[in-house]
Amino acid sequence: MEERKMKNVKALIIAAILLIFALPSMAQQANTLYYMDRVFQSQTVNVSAIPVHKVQVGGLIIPVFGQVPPTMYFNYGNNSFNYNHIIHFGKEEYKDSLIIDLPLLMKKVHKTTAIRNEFRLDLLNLSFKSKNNSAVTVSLAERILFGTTLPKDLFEFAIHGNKPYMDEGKAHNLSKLSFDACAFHELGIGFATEFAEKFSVGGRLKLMFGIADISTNVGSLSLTTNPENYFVTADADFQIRKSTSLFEYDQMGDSIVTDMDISRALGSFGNFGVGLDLGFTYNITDKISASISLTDLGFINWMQNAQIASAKGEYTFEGVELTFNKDSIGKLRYGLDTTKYKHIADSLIDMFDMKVANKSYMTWLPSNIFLGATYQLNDKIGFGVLYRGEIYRKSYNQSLTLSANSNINHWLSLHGSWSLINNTIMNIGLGISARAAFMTWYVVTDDVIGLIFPQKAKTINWRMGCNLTFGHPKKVLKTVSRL
Amino acid sequence: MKKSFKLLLTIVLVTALGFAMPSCTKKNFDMDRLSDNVVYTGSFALPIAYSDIAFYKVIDLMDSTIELRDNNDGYLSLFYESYVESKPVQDLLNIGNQTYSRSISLSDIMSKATRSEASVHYSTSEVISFTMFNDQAEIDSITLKSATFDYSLTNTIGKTTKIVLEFPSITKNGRVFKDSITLMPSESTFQKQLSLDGYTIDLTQTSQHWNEIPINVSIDLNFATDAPPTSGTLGFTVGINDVKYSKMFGYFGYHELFFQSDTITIKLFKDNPKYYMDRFYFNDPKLTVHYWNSYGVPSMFYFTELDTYVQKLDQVWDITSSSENFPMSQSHPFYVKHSSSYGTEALDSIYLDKNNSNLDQIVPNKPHWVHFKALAATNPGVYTHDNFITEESKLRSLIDVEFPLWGYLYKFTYTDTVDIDIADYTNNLPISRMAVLLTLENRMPVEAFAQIYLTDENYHVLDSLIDNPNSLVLEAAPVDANGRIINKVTTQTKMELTQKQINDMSNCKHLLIKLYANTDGALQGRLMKIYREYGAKANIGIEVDLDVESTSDIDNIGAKNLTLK
Repeated sequence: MEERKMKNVKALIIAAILLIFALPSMAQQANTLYYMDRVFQSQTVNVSAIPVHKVQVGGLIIPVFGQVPPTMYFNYGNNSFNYNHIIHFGKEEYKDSLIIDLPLLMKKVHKTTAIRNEFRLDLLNLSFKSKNNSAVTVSLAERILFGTTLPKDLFEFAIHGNKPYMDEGKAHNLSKLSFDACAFHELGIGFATEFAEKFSVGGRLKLMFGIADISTNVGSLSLTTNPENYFVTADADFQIRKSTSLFEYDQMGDSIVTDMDISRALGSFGNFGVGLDLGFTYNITDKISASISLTDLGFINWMQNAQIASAKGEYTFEGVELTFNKDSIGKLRYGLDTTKYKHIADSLIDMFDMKVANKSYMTWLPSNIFLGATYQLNDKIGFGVLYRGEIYRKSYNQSLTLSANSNINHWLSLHGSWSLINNTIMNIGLGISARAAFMTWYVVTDDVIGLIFPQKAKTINWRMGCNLTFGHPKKVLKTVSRL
Repeated sequence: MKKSFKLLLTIVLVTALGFAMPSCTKKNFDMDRLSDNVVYTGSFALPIAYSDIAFYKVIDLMDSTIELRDNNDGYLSLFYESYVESKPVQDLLNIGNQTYSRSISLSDIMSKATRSEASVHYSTSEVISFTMFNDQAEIDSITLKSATFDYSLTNTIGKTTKIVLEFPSITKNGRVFKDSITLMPSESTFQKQLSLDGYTIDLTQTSQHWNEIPINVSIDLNFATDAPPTSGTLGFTVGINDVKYSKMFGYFGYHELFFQSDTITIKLFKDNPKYYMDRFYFNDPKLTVHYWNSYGVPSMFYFTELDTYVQKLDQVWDITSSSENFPMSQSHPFYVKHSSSYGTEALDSIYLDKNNSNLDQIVPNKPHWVHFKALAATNPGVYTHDNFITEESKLRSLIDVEFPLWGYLYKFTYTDTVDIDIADYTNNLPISRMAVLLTLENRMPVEAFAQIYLTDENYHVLDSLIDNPNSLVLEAAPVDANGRIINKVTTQTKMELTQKQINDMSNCKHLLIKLYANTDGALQGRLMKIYREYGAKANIGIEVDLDVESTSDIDNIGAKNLTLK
């Protein structure tokens, strides 16, 4: 019995953890990559970077070289808590045991918890550079973005209950609650060029073809518990939007019909979107440069199987209704009206009286701004500073990275970074690119410690791949000057 | 080159070692190490259930045979009803087939005929008498919706014979109904059928002035190319058959329209395992006969039997003999209004109450049923030729037993169970404290006491929730001089549960509710009226403090859902 219970506990906790870690996040958090000029993929975060090589080819569809390793990027970020803030080793008799520590979690939870995930698989990358330092790039990628913002009051409600707020006469404010998940194909065509010897500028037009989306659009949402009778009143103005064939709301908005035909769900290509990346680099002196980059300025218009379920108004939950009714044999019974009652959860859903409309909607991509500056100490090493801001719905997440970047010789470059990301300074980044003949391998992360000790990480990301590079410059390039 | 390679190798090795997840990292995700040391405290105040019950809806559900209506004074009355209806008028006052036959010999014809050289003309007038639906009926006219006129001839005279039949009192749009036929010498028999649809038969055109019609018969014998007839007979038979009338006038005589018995069951006073009324008083119970009469005929109605079974005394009481003034007995029939003009319906009603019957003695003794035999008849001792009916005429009677909700109720007991598997929700849930908040809004002049028991699956009582079942949980709403509430009353009871009660919830499968209710001032005989808007609302909320201290508690949180059956 106890063993069964323990298994249940584990399943529950693992499910919760997987949920948290699989939940959303967006926007490329590639701060170390930004200054890895020998890696073509740095173009994804600074489109004004002129590729070093005359020709570069990469991506999963390139035989052999495209798969060892596959060109991919994974990022997880949580600005509030890590795994050990929920589960960690105890003390004394529990020093070898894991304990669930919800009070610690509550201490760590910020006013809003932003959890972001991105997975990107590059199918094809191409770049061609001309003699006058102009480059054309083409990229084809599969991208999956998840993102959620959880207001602290949501944790308060779930962990401390609603009574403390009720006693204080406060409402649980969930207005910043959001949930977004989308998958799309991305085709990017970019151009970068230098001019006047000191400047380079670049832009990339991205055409996106949405596969599926589930997202919320919360205008306002608060829960107030009336101390007189414990009624819970939701003052709500929100939408739940979806563009997928996996499920459908019925027109009354009080039930959901599911269709778990994954292949059919993945077959959606008709959701068209447009995006833009812009970049600008200025070499102030031979040693100092500055750059600005804007990425993922764009939107996707979701049209296929699109539905919007809306709730607007004040809804009060008084509990389930008990009434007199007749049972199957005609006897008078007092209890739930079984003809109306489905489940207590349905009563809560019904409470919002959702209105469903079959219509298209638009979602903006989580956009980034990068502001960077570098100082080239000597031919071997340079230092960089990078500020990154992510605009995602109602939240703005920031990070700051200091880096040391060295193109050690013709075939090896090393990059080290230290970042303030997700409200923690424990982010030591590392990037390596190594070239052998026409192959350039690279791997980069903003938090090595997070990869080694994921239980303590708020940020886990890495990018890796292999590019075929041709026309490598004879001279060792300064790391941070692209001109 | 070598240096660089060494550096790269070093970095790769160090990184690879680092990425080979350290054992301490692995341990962090080893769920076998999860201890029972969980700290979780939450405090919830949530609405669980509500119930807004309108009094009239409950009555409707309690007894589907009850009709609940607003009475003329604006408050509610309970009705038990039974309909009695006359048969279709064509069945009750049926006009059968009418036949008339006549045989005329040649000698009769020749003796009374006008004769010329080659022909003979003979005519005669006859009277056809109708047989009506009763011996007393004296019908003046009948408008036929449908009927057939059938006639047959036999001719043995052997000459060319023309016969004309004319009915001067059967007309349609001013035209008299007649028909002629010429029989050739070789034709000895003949039959014909004609429609009388839409014709009106005037039955007053004979010396009797009712139930008869004249018929004119004309016969022409032609023998121009032949010798005169020497012998033979001419016979004819006429019939008016399959009569369906659209209206009929005259005097219809004494005719029983219905004689019917029925039983009205009064479930309200029957023993019910769920509720019991110890003492009650209805101030103005009534038994009413409503009469709808679209016959243009004076009618009467009376009970040949009217009795009731009173449960308290286990006796059958006769109601008809309860009072000298009883108004619907054979000796005092109820003379029902009748329709005074064609196409209208007269409404009438008469009732029994405590002044003309023993109803006031019957009702407190819990009558279980009222049984009656009723008779309705036309022209009771009345002779007039003003009677009329149409094909739609009907006599309907509604007999209802009415209990106007004006009185008092003392010690009404209601017992019910609610199937609520609290265990599914609370089993092993680490509840350190629980309080139930019961908010009651009363819109009735009724006070109530209640007790709620927790029972197991076999309905064995585990515990009770209300500390003092003798304290009011529902306070009566105040009323004005007319017994109508002035404003609703809200009472709130917070029940702090003991740890035993919380533990007992784990085994609770049903709630047993016992409710005792009185109308306000029932003991003092204070009369109240119940209006449609009367009802009560209950809200149940709980305060729960959860205190998780082990994984066995966690195991159940959220694993099961509240199921209410």
